[in-house]
Amino acid sequence: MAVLHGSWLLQPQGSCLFIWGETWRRVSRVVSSQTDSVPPHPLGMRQEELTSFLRSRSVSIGESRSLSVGDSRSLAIGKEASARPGKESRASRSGGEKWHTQAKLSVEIALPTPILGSGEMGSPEYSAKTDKDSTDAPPLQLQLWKVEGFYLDPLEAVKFLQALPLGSFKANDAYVGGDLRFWSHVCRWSLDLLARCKFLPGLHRELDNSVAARWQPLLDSAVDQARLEKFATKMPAACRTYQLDLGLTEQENPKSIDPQELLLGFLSSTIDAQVRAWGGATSLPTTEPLVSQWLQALSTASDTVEADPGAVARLEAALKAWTTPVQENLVTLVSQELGQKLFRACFLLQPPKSGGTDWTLEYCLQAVDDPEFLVDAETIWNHPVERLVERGRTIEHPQETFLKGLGLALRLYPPIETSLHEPRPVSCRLTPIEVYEFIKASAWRLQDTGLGVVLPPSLMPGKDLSGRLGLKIRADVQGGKKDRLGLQSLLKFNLELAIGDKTVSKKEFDRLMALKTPLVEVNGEWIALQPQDVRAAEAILATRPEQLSLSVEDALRLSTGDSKTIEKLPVVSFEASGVLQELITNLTNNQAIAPLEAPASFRGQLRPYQERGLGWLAFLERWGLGACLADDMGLGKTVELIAFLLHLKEQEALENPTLLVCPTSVLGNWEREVHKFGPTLKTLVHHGDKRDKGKAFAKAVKGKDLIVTSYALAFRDAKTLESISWQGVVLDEAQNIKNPEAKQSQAVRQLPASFRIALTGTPVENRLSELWSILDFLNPGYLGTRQFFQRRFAMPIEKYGDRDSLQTLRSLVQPFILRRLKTDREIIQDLPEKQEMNIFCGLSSEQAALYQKIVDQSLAEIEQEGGIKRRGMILTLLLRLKQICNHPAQYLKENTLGSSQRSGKLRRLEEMLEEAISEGDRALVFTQFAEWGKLLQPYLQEKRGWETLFLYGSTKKQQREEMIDRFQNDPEGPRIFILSLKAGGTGLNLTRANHVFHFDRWWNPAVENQATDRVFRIGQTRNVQVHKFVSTGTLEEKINDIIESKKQLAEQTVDAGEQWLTELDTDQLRSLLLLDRSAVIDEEE
Amino acid sequence: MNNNEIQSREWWAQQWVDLLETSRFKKRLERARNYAKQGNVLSIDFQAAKVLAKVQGTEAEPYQVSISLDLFSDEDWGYLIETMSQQAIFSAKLLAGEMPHNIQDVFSANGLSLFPFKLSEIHSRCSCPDKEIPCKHIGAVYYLLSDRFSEDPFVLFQLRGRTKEQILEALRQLRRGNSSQVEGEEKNEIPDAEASQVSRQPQPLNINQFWEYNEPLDSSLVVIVPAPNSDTVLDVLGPIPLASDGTGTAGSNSTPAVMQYLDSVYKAVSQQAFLSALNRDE
Repeated sequence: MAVLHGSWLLQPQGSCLFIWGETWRRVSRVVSSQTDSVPPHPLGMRQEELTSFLRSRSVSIGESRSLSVGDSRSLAIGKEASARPGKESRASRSGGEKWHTQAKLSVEIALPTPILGSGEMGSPEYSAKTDKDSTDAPPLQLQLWKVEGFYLDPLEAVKFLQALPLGSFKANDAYVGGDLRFWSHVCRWSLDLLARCKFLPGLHRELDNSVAARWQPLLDSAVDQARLEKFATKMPAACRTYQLDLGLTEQENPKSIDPQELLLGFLSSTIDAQVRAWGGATSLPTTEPLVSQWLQALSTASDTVEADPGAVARLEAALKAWTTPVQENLVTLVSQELGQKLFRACFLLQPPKSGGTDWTLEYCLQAVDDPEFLVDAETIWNHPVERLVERGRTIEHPQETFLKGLGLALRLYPPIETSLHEPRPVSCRLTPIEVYEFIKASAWRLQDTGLGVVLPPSLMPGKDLSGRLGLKIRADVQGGKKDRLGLQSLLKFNLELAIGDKTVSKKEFDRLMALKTPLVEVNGEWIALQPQDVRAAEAILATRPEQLSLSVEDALRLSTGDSKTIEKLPVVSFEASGVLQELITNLTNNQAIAPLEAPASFRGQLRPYQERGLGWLAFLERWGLGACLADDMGLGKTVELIAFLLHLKEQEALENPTLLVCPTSVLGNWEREVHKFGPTLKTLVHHGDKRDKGKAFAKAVKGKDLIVTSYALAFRDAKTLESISWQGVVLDEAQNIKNPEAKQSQAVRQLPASFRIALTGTPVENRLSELWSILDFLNPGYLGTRQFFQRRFAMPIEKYGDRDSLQTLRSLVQPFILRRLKTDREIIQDLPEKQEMNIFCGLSSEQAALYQKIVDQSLAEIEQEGGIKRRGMILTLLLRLKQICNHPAQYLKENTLGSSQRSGKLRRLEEMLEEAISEGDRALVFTQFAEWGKLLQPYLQEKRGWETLFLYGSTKKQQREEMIDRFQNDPEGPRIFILSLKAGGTGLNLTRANHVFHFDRWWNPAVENQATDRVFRIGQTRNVQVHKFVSTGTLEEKINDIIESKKQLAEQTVDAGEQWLTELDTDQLRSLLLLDRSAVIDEEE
Repeated sequence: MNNNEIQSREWWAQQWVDLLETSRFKKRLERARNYAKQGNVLSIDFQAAKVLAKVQGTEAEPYQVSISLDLFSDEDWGYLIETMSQQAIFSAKLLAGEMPHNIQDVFSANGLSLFPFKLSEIHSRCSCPDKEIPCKHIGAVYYLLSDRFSEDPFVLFQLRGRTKEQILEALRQLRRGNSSQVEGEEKNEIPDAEASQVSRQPQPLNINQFWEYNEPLDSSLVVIVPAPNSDTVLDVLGPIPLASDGTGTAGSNSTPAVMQYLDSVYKAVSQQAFLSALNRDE
């Protein structure tokens, strides 16, 4: 719907974050480039829109703003325009003068704008536009546009940025533009600097010679220097074109703001504001008056230091002397030397020459942007020059840079002092103990203070295990191939100590221990022996192998790269052989699993990817592993499962029945599909008030292959169901157990089964914990406890968009989830461009009662009439019954729909729309009743929060065009479009939809096909799914059956419409209309 | 308090105070100290090798005080620089803004002393009618000088005839002279004019990827924690060489209190930043 934008603006009167919003709307007028003034951005949000949009996302931008907008005042910087940087913001914070204003607050920004053939300027590109690389697009040029928005002072800016989602992991976080997300990441950096105390108090002299106390960021550590470089490189162009001066001649290469300058400005302002805010609570000490005044000015809103110039100059000198060692890395408001310093002093740790024991710490210069570029001390000493050219790089003041670095290092690492008494020091010697200490503590401090450190690769701290003492494991399964294995099955394995990939024998280990030094050389590589690793290794050597155990699950974790320690030692190498190797290969790469042809008893044809799915299910079942088949809606999870059950049956592996749990709304569908594709499966639907319980149930399921029941009953009849020893438990629409606390989730977990399968099109709808819930049902304990999962994965990934954690989680769950998208290239090949499906929905008991009542009443009346009146009555009856099948509220002419529980069709529609939306799809919903659309649209919008368009006969032409334009072109536009069959069935082009729902039926395939074809016009690139809703047990099902049977003959020749029904005699009519009560779904929950 | 006082005052300032306190004019200087305390010293400037001060006396016009030490001769300085160049630590520390603690050794090795041994070696003049030297105006400036020495110890060099920059330059010249024997090394030096100016070129705007930012949050910014040990930049830099209340009295130095204050501000900010980063949704 809309995208938020913004950037940091450097302004003399106070730098700030400017935010604005962009919304997709129809732009009809081409703006002439001839106008003098800068035109408003046609897609820019007005302030009121922005305010309500921010409110809808619960993002606060500070009280003064949100209040002022409603009462027609907008905001601008008022009379303090001449104040010093940051001053107006403090004033507003201290409760003094607020943002005053009359004028609208707007900013000019240069945006890529298409230049049309006529030389006229088009409308700026919508930032979230998806098809950017269409070749026939007109050329783009930067043009100035005016956007309305808000200024946020540094503190408000931080608060605002902190509240934005950091990642784009969730689809509904996409409202944050890349430019703002960039600043939210930089803001995170600013917080990190604060947490690490990377700032210093200072004095800043203004142009008018007044003096301000400021907190200045300190970017001395190697980490921050790298971040500065990275952020400067990655800054989106959109952050740099505010208030851009587009000279006529400079169009080709306009002077945009330097990213680094902008970044440093942001850090300066936010860090100063935050330290003031957070440090202000500390009570000031009593000191000399000027110092007191300075401290005061550092901790309160007003930063001015007013004192005798001489005294201030002295304080300035003292501060300058104090900060000399880190001067180059201190971010001040005036001179920005940062990033100019290209070389730093560096310490290179060299192992002892053969025979010796002492190490050497060599001094050198290192290129800041290339840690491998080193200039040794000898070269530096031999060139006492202003500027040294070395291998193509220029080093300014090499000796001074080098010596100053040594002087600073001396403060942090005193062992170098002795060497500095020489005239031309090049290195110092360290004992192994000192080296160990250097690596563990000092190296980090030196790097954190702007100095370089180079260690032998094997001694670099980090995740790399190459230099650590660890374990080498070779494993295979125990016993023969016939045994049924599971995650918990134990392995036989062989375990050796190793360093890197080299094995260390016990003798070698003992020899290393005897050296009694923390640093040892093994096969030419130096490693630091961590005391805890040594202890763990000793413990393992002292343990008999039988006392250690390793399960299939451990093996899987080791191979997918999650847990890397066994008995507290890192596993440096893991080798599986035999059957275990096959298992692991197949699990970590499900492409490796051979597809399985549909069993002979399967009535139908499996598509190639479905055969792969079948093979995959069979493979996991063989190993007793839970499987989540997560193919997109419409790819045929149902038939894959039916084929899988038939396969087990053919293998004579179905000793006990399998329980399938699904939402009530699809019970009927399952029954029909099993009947259609796998009639040999003996199936029982456990549902309805006459269902068996306890012993009767146990008896009834004997000899059955498949029992189908609902989630509600899985909980209500838990005792009955638990008493059966199930072959398998299958959850359809497994997102129903996404809340692990829910009763039904608890109940299905308790069911004993030798295999478990979850079917879902959306394994993760909103939160990762849903994935945990499903996986924990399938393979209990595999992802740890819920709390552990939350801490280890959900938090880092959802809150911070942490890609490493996401990667680990992916590789952990990947073996158990098979997910194919209908957009996958090879899947598309396998799919027809149009898939038509009947969706069978039950009736609620309210619908059933109404239906029964109307049928009984009307048939009695109809029986007594004849001729045209009789026909008319039959048509009215059909109409009413269709209304009831849609929803009782429609028949009863109520104003709202109330609960979806009242209609089986609505329930199913909601479920399917939810799935479609979460897959990023768009859907058309056709109905023949305008009044149904009027009920459905507000229901979907208000109850479900899905923006929905509705087009029917009385929609005005202009609205109609606008709706179609939004649906087709707005990237964030509505995903659901309800159309009345009459008004929307012809003439429209709605190719963006790839789902078509026929909610009620015309019984005329030609009309329905014509409607369906709205999405099949030129431009459709995806496969389209057509869902035809049918209420089971009602006339709809019976008519559907009749039409389906005729369809094979000739689709178009079927007698159109419902006229033929009026010709039926009362008995025929009765049998057609008779309600099959088994289709009634009870009101649950 | 006394302990703090001693620790917070570097030897060069302390030595000056000692000089005053052991002088035979101690009594008179005590009075001068009070005089300074009352704010009668209006200004102190270092001009070349001289200290020029304005002190408000009984007359409307302030008295002019000038103080100087014997300058070391160019030859002496030559020896001093030579001695300093024997140990890299002197250049290193001076460049890093620190007065080497053993700088005295350099002077004594050449039979010189940075500080005068006796008050009488200080040349002082005052425009007041008082014939006695030091008069209380001069005495008042003496007291304030100890602060100036702790704020910027390099003025001591200045009083002996060389600024820090001159010393550093001389050291560099010396290094250059020493290694000029090294054959053919000069080729690596290029004249200023030809030097390729290294300047950052801001990257050009990419109009086709105008809005794109697809980076995940840097993994090092996912979890924000204070530095592993509690050391901060304050520990690296040490105490700020702040002036005391202007009288040189023991216990009046602001530095310990300021450092303590800064330390608690840093701790509070670090803690708040940590919490704020942790609770970003709450």
